[in-house]
Amino acid sequence: MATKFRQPQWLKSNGFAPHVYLFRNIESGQVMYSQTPHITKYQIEQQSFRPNWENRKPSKRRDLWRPMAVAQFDSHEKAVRAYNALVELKYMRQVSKRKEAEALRKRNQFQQIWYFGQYRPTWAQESVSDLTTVLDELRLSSKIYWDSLWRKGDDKYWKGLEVEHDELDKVSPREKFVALNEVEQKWKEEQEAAEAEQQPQPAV
Amino acid sequence: MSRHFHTTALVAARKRIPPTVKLRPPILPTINNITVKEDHPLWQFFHEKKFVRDQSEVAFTGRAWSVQELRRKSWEDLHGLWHVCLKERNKLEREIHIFRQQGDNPVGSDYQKLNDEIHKSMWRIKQVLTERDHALKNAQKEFKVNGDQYLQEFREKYLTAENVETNEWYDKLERLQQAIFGIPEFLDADFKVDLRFVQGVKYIGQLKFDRFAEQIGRTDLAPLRDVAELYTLFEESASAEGVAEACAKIDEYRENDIVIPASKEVQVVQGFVQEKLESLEAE
Repeated sequence: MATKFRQPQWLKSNGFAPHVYLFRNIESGQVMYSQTPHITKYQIEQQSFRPNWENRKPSKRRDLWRPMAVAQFDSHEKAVRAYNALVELKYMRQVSKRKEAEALRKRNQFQQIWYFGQYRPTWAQESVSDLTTVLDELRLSSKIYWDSLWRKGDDKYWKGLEVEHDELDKVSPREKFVALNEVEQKWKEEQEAAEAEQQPQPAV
Repeated sequence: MSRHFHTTALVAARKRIPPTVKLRPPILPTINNITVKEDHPLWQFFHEKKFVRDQSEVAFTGRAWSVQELRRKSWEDLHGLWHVCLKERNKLEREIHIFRQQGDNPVGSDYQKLNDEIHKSMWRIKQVLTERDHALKNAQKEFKVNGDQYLQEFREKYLTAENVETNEWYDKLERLQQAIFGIPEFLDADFKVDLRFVQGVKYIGQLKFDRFAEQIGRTDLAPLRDVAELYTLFEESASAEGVAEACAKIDEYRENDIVIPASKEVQVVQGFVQEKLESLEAE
């Protein structure tokens, strides 16, 4: 499923919702984007552009990856555009605009990216900021399900964006994929209801 | 006009994020987005929903409960007090933990002193409960040696007392049932009758009969034949009316000549208890 890049048509015909999934590594705080509610070696390989000692290539251990947010878009095309844009922004942060990105990060006393143990909160915070950039630059409307609304940050960052915030069901980490499936199911039901409304009523 | 024949790449490029985009600073999470339910159970760890109380708010003039005071309290009171103390200590321990994290030494502060005082009350509650437990164990040990004599004495007192239809005597009977024969005030649905229970039923039934038979003129029923008759007496209240009612039932019972053998007593009493519980449930 999530082992290669998927075109909008493929996602549509295989019953996937127009979502972009943000998975967070609870050990290092790194975030990976995915088109389907899974996280595999593909995303990790594809989105680790320049691993270094501060931004290591994370392991694919499934217990370490938790959903951080699910961004829902109006269509599969838009979802894929948003996904591409997020990955590109990540590339900019790691490669092409590295200095710019480094200047924005919080530092410790040794001028390293602030960390506690192996955890660097900046990765998750940057991905939230990238999400706002994508919505703003591509003029997309979205509904975002957060694992905790805490992560969304201050409302001022979302001002002027066509965005709705919601919270994922609080479940134990073992059931995280069930919560994601429920969001997908919800989208399908809404879609079916909208289609039923659009169809002309048969004449009596 | 475009000099190229292809258009898809141009369309795709227009849909991509511009490479000139300015990176935005990381968005810090904020607790302002989170609303906590008013009745969230973890609020119990906070005094009036405050992160940490002021020094003046924990200043106290009281003292810990003394053992002598606690000895006079019932089990329910002690249980309640323990709970109150525990909750208060949870709050204090949390606050002390925060001071420690910030590098302040909470030893000697009002928080720590109040915590110590409450701790004192708590170990004293334990002390009192231990005393009671030892007393119960000693009494049980002693009862094995001269329990019969004690029951005999109680019987004599009960029979010779001027008036036993008082709350004091009802309480005494109840305590005797509970402590010596293990007959609880309220039975559970899965209560198992044992030999001790049957002995209690026999003792109490006989006691009530001996006390009131003469008063209501039913000495003709003596001697009581089996455990079914004694259970009827046991079940009724310890008063002349209660015993009279029981005697009426015994009359009915004696119309058929069944006598329950000693080997079946536990089984039969279990049946009676079950019946009683079922009828109560149906009500």
